[in-house]
Amino acid sequence: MTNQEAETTPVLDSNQIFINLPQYQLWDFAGVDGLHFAKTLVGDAAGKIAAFQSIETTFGEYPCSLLRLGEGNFRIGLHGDSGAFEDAIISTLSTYRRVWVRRCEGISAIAFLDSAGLDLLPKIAITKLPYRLAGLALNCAVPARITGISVLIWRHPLLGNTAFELHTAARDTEAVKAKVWALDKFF
Amino acid sequence: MNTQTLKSAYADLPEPLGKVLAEYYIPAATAIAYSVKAGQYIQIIDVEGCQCSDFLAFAGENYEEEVDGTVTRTLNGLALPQAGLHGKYFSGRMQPMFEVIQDTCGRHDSFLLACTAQYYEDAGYPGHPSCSQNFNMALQPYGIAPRPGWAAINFFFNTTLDCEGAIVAGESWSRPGDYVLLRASRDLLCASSSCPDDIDPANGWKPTPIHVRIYDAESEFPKAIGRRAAADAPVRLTKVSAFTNRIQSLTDNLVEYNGFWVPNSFANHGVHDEYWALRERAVLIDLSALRKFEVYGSDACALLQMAFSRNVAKLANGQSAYGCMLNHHGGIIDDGIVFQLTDSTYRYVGNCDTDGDWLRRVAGQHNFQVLVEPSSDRLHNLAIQGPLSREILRSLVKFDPDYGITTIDNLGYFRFATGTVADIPVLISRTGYTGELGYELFVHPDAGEALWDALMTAGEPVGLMPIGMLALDRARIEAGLLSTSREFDDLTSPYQAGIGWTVAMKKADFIGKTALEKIKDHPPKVAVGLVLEGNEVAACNQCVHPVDERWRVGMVTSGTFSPILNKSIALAQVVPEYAAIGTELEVGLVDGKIRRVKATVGPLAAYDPDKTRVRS
Repeated sequence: MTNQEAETTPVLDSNQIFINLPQYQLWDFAGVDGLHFAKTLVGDAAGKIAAFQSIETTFGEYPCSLLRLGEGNFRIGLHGDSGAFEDAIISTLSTYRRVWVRRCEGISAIAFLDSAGLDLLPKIAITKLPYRLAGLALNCAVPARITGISVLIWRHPLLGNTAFELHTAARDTEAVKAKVWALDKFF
Repeated sequence: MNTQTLKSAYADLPEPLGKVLAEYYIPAATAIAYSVKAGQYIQIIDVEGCQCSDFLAFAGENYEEEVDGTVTRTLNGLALPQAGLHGKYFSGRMQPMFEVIQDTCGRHDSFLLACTAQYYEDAGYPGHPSCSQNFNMALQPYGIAPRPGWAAINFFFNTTLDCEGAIVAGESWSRPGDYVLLRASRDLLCASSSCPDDIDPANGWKPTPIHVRIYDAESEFPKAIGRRAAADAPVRLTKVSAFTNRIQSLTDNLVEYNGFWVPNSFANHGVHDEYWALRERAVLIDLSALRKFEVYGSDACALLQMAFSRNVAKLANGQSAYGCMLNHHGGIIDDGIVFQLTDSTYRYVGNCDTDGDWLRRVAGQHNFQVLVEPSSDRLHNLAIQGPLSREILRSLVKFDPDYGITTIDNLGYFRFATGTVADIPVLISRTGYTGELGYELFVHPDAGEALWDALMTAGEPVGLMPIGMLALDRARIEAGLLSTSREFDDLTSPYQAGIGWTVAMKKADFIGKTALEKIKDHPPKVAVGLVLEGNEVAACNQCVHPVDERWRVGMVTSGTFSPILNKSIALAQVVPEYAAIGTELEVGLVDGKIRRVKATVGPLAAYDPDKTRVRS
């Protein structure tokens, strides 16, 4: 195993389902200037993705993923120290004032390997038309529900591996994990 | 009562849509309750027309869950569910109760109570029967407590919100035989009425019966909205095109557009990346909703000279021209393209079924020897647009010798020829609605899927993908291309809509010429492009003002954020005095007063105003 591989191989939790996401943070920003804010942070590629599509990029020395949620609504998943990111936010906000930025304290991310997601999610997640979980492409997301709990299912590279990342209200994290874990155990 | 008896009860009972499990006769001014199982279909028929039928649905062991109009409006984002993506009615617990599958009327009420005793009492009719009272009696055997007024779904009841927010009711739009077809999402107890209101126009002053049919859950009825192209035209249910099967495998986001199911956007994609695929690579767009008419005969050219704004006599075989059909006061009936197939054979491609009626009428008035036949059902069309569209077609196309075109590279702008694409017979036209190099392929529906597959396969290496109406709309606004009912209607002249260049004023005569001669020099408004300061997007009907003035000089007709220009842009129609390129104006956002945004007048096409890309 090379050093590079060692750095990107995901570490699973004790259940061997969920990917540990140390130092992973979610940030939301939205507003009239949301798109321009995103372009300033990660480049023009931000303008080429549609709602519920994402791109992988880096911020400073850290990998990050940008997910578009609407015309001017974005979420960033950032690995590593957020200091430089916060500095960039402050700097960019001086140019684009009609946008808010906040760390997603109330949303938690649950991640598992692509193979597990492809196997388990169709059994428990329900999307509302016109969203489709079947055939969900890489770098795409869909809003869904798992036993009535709202989740955003996002399929994208995570630490170098294709993975499913679920965003759910922090208070529902354990319930969603339990559902996934129980299903994995059953099958 | 069996079907035969029912048929004798009212003469015009339409034929069943399928195998009937049960049917119910609801005499005028009464109501009934009935049960359906999950998956079964409920057809509520207005037999004689102009008759409202209020509807209730309950679920649960004790009928404790009922339809909730507020929840339904909120979850659908619509005042009234429509057949298609947003067709479900929901309970107070936000669970689907039933879904609209077909609707041939299109005007119902979801705001008001079923009529109540109090309504009639307040109008001076104490003791008058009401739907709410009738529902109370019908539901009493099921243990459902009476209410003074039921929050029903009031089918065929014509209400609307006026600009002051008042709920205005009027005579029902429903005609004899109009119906709504619902599919129960769960086991339901339903109640339907024939509204007894005879004291206002709601039921045409005379209540008549309603007929309900129940169809088996195994039945298959396509989702469809019924529309009439003209007052005397039959209902036409939403159609699918030759490409819809392929499209449905790629998206569930379909909407009704001009009588066809068309995609809004595609799964795993969306407006932004579909837009960029168009601007940078190539895309497929199903444009089968356009209407086609064959115009042929010795006076075909004369008819089009009279009815179409362009000088058709100047066309050569294999050449087409964009223009409009006009009424006598110079208003645009429709915009479209005339194709000259031979010296006496033309094709008109526009937007309206009634275009053919108009052409025939004009022909009759002038005793022209010409036939006008609709060909929309045998010609579906798929546009391939984008800078790589020619490259994709190059290896697939073979031209017939008739038009003198040998390769796709020889096919000029607004030129067309017949031939094959991947051995499939097509007419290839170098036209489009995107502001990019592109082609429209007219094909028999039987070969539509093969054409789709051949193009998708050939285009896959360069990133060809289908796009929906949302991305197309953004592109056409950038390109300054008009949309019916946004930029023009039959009260709008071509000079106001921005297509004055399509009016061949030197022609000896054409419909609307006299009026346009007066309008031309000073139309009440002219079309302009606006580039707004900042990133906010203007919306249709927002007002345009001079800088720092209260009064208006125009209205926005379409607005979008242009990804390629990275600017908020709009199409607007403003008075000529404020239409000069470079004029600074303001667009009133929100309520028109809270925020004024500076906007600069530019060409109608903000993107590639010189049309270099479409001509490349």
